[in-house]
Amino acid sequence: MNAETKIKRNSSTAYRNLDGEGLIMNPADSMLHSLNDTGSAIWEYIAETRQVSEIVDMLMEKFNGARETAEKDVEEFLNALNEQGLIEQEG
Amino acid sequence: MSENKQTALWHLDLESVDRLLDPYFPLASFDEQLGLRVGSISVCARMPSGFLEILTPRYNGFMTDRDFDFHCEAARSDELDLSNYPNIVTQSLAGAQIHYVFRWDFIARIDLSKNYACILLSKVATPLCVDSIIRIATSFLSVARGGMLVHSASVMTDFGAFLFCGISRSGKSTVGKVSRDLYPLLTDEMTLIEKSGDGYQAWGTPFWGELQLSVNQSAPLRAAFLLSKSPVNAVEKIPLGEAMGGLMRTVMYFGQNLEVCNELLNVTLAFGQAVPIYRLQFLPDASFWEVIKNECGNKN
Repeated sequence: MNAETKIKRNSSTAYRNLDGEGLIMNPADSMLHSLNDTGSAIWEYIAETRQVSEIVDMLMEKFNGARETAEKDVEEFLNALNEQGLIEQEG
Repeated sequence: MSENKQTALWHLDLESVDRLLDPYFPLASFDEQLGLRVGSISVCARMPSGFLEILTPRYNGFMTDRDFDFHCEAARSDELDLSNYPNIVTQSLAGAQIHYVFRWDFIARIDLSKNYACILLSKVATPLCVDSIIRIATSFLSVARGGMLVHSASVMTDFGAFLFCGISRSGKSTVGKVSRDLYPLLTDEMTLIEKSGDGYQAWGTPFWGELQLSVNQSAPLRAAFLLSKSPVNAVEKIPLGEAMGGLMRTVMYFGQNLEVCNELLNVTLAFGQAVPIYRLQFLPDASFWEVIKNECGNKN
């Protein structure tokens, strides 16, 4: 995965947002995954296909953070989602 | 059955499965019939000879002979060899109405739109296969009605019923053992939760566990606890998202498509928003009831 990699949600997942806390359910294993504010913001952003660099830009704008921190957070989060089969990648 | 046909089934060629099942069902005749009522869900099962003798003792107190809203039929095929299959696999068709269940001893098709399930038993299958399908059908029907089957012990107290949720070895039987001298136990293994007005009712079910204790009674549900064995007793209300994650691990449900997921998510979220869910750290004795009473007792 790099800055140009395109990411979107696995369209087979179910999602709910409860006052800022996101819940993702994966039908493949019926596991429920809980997301914090940052995770929920990223998940909602990748309802459409986005490049990793776009996700970082969005996060920086939303949370006024440093680029390096945003890149690290995005990389860790997307890797975690990928391990659970919750996202699809292109390129 | 040839290995190639088994492979096709394993890769969920459902048309092949239908062609396998359809010659047997619906049954032209049957040897034995059993009726079961769990909460508001009533199931009639028709099956081969010898099954009643095994199943009747398990369902004592829950049997009925009328007003069925779901039917199961079981037939045996001596040619059916499923020994290469894993423990259990399900496949649901789009629309969340038709579900196929594959196991090393049976294949079943559960059609919620027709309130009917058929079970083709292999030569090694026992009567407990019928019990498995009844449980699975009950889980689907309960969710369709806004409730769910939960791996849990449940207890009736004079200040409400309480659900103690947990997977295997989480302490459900321990909770049951230490509580039964204090309060009536609804069940030690699997509770049926049904929507009742603005709240929920907890029902005992015949799907008992180690204690073989279940009663066909219900009570308004006051709270749910996610179990955690501990050297101390403590109760902590947990945020809804975390509660949902813990609860989901204990809900009995087998569907694996998006409609099924959404249905289950809606039901469990509605439940979590209506019923307080706590984490209960507990010692293996009845002392944890003091922390529960302090938190939940004598409140409306």
